[in-house]
Amino acid sequence: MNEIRRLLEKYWLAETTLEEEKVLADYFRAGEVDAELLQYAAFFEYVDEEKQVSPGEDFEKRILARVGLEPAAVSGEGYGIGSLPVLAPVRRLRFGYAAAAAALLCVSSLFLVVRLSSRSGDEVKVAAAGGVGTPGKGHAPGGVVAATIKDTYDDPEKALAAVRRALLVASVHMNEGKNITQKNMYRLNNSWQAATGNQQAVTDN
Amino acid sequence: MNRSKWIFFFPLLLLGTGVFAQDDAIGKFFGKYVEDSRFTVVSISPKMFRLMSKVNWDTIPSDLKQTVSHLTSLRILSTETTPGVFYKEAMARIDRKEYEELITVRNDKDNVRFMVKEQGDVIHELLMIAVDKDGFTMMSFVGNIDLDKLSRLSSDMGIKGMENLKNIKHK
Repeated sequence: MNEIRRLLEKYWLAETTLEEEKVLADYFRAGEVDAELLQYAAFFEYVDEEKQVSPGEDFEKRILARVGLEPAAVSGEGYGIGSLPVLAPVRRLRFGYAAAAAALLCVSSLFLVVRLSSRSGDEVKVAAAGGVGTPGKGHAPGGVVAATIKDTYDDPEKALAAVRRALLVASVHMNEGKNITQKNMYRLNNSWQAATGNQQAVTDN
Repeated sequence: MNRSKWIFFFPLLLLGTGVFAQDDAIGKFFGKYVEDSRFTVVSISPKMFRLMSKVNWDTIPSDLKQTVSHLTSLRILSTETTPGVFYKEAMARIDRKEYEELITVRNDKDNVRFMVKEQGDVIHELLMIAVDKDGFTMMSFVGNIDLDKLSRLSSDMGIKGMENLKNIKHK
């Protein structure tokens, strides 16, 4: 009795082994169920009943007719209801749709990219044609022209050398700025000490 | 679930690489001069920056190495024709909401401005615009830029070869 109760606890937690489940099923099937456990009897009865359900004789033929296959084309074994092979083709079909959608998206986005870049390329040409000889007129930054510019170097080593030079130029200029700022600060300090009138911050402009 | 995410993001990734090429000041405001014969253009794409990792880095100082490894693209546009006019145009064209002025150096000979475009706390683009009587140069560095490191580069190298540097502007 207690043994059955213990097994039931395990059963609800889904921790029973197949053997233990069989013990439980046998117990409830035997009919001599303890009053306390009677409430579960119906459940096990139901489980038992469901196990009895089986497809009819012509089930396979009907299924195969539905999917448009000759019964002879598929050997009967392994194609019963509940076994995976029947379900598998359905699943594969679903992934097929996903794959098709992905491919479609890739292709369409590629089109988009190609069109975007070719369009901006056109703009560059148009702008270059229209813009020659009229520098200084574009006062509003609204005339934004996107451009795709080709790589100048094919050799990474040469490119690196160019980057190095460019960085140095920037660095040198930046330090010039620092020195001047320091000089100005120094001057500013001196004049603060010398005079007490209005002081305007020295701005570089 | 993962699969469907991929289906959504993969085209976005493609789009991202296609559009990136235009995301700097020179591409945006000065694209029209790229094919102009009066201008000399140097452009180094993100792809080329990736290829640089294959170059022999042994002889390259570590500060420089780090700075370069954080860059994704470089563009230089320069001309010797009417530098003053182009300088004025550059100043007018650049969107001040996007580009903040950082340093201006002005002396009797030349005029150099540094502008930065920030994304959060990171300087995403450094734009240098320089003009003197001989020429006008715009330089745009895109990437994650550390100004301290950049300014240290020249002091590390010393003043050696500085004369050559001046010349590359009008290469």
